Amino acid sequence: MSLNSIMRIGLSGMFSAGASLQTTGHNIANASTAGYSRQRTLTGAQRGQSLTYGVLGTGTQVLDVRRMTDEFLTGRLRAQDARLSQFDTVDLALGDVEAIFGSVENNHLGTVMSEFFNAWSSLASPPVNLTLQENVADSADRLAAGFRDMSASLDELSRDLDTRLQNGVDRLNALLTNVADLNRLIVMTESSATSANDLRDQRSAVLDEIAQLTQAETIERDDGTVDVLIGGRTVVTREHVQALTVARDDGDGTGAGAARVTTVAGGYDVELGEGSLQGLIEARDEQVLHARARLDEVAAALIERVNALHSQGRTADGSGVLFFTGDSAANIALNPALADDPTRVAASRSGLEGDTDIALEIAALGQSGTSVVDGRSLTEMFNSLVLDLASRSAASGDRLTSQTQLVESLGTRLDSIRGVSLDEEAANLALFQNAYEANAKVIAMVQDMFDTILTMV
Amino acid sequence: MITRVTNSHIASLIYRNNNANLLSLTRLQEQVSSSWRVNDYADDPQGVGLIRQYESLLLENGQYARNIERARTMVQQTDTALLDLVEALRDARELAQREVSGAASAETNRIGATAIGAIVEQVLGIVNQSVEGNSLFGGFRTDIASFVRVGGEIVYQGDLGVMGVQIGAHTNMPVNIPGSELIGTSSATLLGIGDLAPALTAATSLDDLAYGEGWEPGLVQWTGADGVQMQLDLSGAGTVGDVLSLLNAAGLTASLSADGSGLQVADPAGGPLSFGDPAGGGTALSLGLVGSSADGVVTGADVRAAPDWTVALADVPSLAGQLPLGSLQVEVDGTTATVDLSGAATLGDVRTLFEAAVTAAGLPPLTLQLDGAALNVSAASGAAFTISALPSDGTAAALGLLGEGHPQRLFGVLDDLQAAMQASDLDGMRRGLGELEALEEHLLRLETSLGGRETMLDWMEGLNAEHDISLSRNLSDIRDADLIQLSSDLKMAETTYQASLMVSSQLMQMSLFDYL
Repeated sequence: MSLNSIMRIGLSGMFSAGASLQTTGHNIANASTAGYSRQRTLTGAQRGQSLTYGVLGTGTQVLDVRRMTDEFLTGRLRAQDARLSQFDTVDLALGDVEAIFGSVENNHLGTVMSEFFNAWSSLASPPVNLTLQENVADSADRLAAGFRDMSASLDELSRDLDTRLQNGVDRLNALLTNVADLNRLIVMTESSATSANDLRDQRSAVLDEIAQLTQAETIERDDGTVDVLIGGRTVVTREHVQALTVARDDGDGTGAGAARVTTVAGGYDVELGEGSLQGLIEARDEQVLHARARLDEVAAALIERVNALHSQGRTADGSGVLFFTGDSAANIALNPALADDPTRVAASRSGLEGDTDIALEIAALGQSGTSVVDGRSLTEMFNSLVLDLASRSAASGDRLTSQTQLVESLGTRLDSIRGVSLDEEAANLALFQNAYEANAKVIAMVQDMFDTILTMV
Repeated sequence: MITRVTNSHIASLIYRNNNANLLSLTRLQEQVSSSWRVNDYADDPQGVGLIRQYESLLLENGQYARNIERARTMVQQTDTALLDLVEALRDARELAQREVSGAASAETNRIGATAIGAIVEQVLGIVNQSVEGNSLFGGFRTDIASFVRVGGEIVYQGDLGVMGVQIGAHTNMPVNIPGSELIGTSSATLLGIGDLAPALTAATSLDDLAYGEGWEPGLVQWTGADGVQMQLDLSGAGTVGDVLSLLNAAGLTASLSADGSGLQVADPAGGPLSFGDPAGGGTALSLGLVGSSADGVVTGADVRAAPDWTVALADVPSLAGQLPLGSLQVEVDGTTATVDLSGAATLGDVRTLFEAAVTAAGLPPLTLQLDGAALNVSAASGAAFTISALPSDGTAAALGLLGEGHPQRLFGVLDDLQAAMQASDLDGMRRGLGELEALEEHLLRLETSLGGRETMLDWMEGLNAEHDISLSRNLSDIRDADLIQLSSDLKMAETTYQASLMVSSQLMQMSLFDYL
């Protein structure tokens, strides 16, 4: 034992308390930093000094500064967060589709469709007033325009989703590059046997953001780098990145082909996991396409059934012509011959002025209870389409709510492990300050002892 | 389980809870400002579907209301024209009556002939009326005058077209009378007034109901004494018996009405009972079973099937107490035959015995025809005939066959009468008088059937208005918010939000640093 040894013990205690105070200060400073994991300074007793009568302690030492986190829970949270992002993206797109089909308050196409069939019913009602042919032509023109507008809005929504998908993939490429850069920095930092806690936190935050775009598997190597795999394909290896892009099966040139993500080099397909990118693909290639298909179904049935009846008709100018042109919501239009000359709208097969058999039959196509397709009238077909959209929207909202709750629950659990508690840090501050002061007292006391000895000399 | 409470956890908890409270407050405010319970598809997808359906039905119903108004214009004008026509024919008959009396002379006959000529012009004006440019009596030929002079004769140039109008879901009603029906026939005809439709039985096919109009398969709906609305699908029924069985199995007491003309339902629990169709349906209407009753018994309208020749006389309610049938008397040109119908068991037997007796008596052939629920008698020869009852024998009256049969030729009769007056031909004038009387009866019969259409329009208008109210109420039930409840909820949400803000503020202020 020597006074110097005691002084070194005090010094080691002061150093250790100082390091802990620094870590505590770092924690307090990052209390509101997103993705930050609190750190703790780990200390341990230094090896003792063996003497004939036993082992004397030699003080304390800082062993490590450790991130407090749970990688397993982090992985689960990322996976569920990815799913949440996908649900959220689809829900937003369904909201857009809902807006296109009219709010609860504004049922534009449904109203115009009822007006179209009512116009035929008016034309069919004696005393016959053939000027109502113009009314029929006008309402048909508005109905066709309503279908086309809705179809064009769905096109626009598809294009918007395309753009967002491309932007999302660009963002994913940037994030993958970030991971590769951080991999390089972590290797450099940890090669000197120090833990790159904050760089790892930064990489974790980047991986969190990637997970919102698409579910990605990460494999940590012994050198501290992580490889990132999407759909089983490696897109980050140490500091190397495989960039991605969007490709489209667009054989018919309509832009309606399914979107897919591929590697830039080689054009290999990358199967995206859950995430907002997959949500964009689902929204475009399932939800919007589904709505369009149902709308086309109504438009095609309208065109087919009205044309089938109207072409049997006769007017003073000759035989009935096709009433609508086109075959879908995108291209339905009132036959220009009728638009130019509404007197060619045929109300009957006989062509006699008082005969309105065809007008009555066309009016009935929209009447509740008439079986046009699967036991439903054309008006009921459209209403059923709205009901279908509403059900999808509600189901999407429900799954989003429950997924949000799950993610919040996991987030809370992870936060209880890695989050900073200022109260806890305040207590630590007091604790480490006391420790620092106590060690200083040891040194002061050794100094007194030295003084005593020196006085004796 | 959470073991550490961190500041970020407290912050996210405050954010989430405050956000949830604010969202709830915003939704309630949205409902208050719109007065609607359903503002987004996701609020109530089934409700959105029903809202759309009710909106469509309301628009459809509005169109039926407009159609009814237009049809009423047509029917009322036709009715007025028919009454004007009858009035003109009465004038002609009075004139002829005067000229066949003893006070008439050749001079007055010639003046009368001139007056008949004026009546012809008047009648021509009446039958060529139009409404909104549509010839009233032209059938489908609404764009031309219905009657025109060709040579010395007035001929009909319309067609037999009967125009229909949609006055309800799957309910079309004829609104015009083609001019051909005004003219009548050149054969002498006695239009019977009997009601020979048989009573309904359990075996009556539903397709034969309402004089062959059939029925509309689908759902019926009722609200009984317990106030619970029930629905029943009758689509699988084929006969009246099937309908009764299905209704009985559903807890109602269903039977044929006492006079056998329709159906009757009763709630075993007593009144009130309201029976009818769900929105957009027409099944109960087609079964005649629409109505409400405070005592829980709804008796349906007459929906009997039209009779055919095989109908047994014993099945005809109007013949109750008249069987076996007795005899009636037929007279043509002063020759009389007595027709004994006592051996008849079916309507077909009545026809056979009648026609055979007339032929056997050496009279020109007379034929019996079924027209709806009535029997008509006609002589293709055009010879006028009279059917009368024998003393104390109600057979002719029970069969609705009392009166004279004359040819019905609108302008031909007037032309012949004018010629007879011009020539002071008393027999011709008397013949004309008979024919005019028959024509009047014929026109009044048409007017009566038109009156039935007006009644139908009134009834459908009422039904339509009730349907409109019912649809609007259903729409309101689904879509509209309960403002009283909403005000209370809004106040509660406000208080909750304020409380959560206050707690959040205090929670954020607490820190150990304050005590160190």
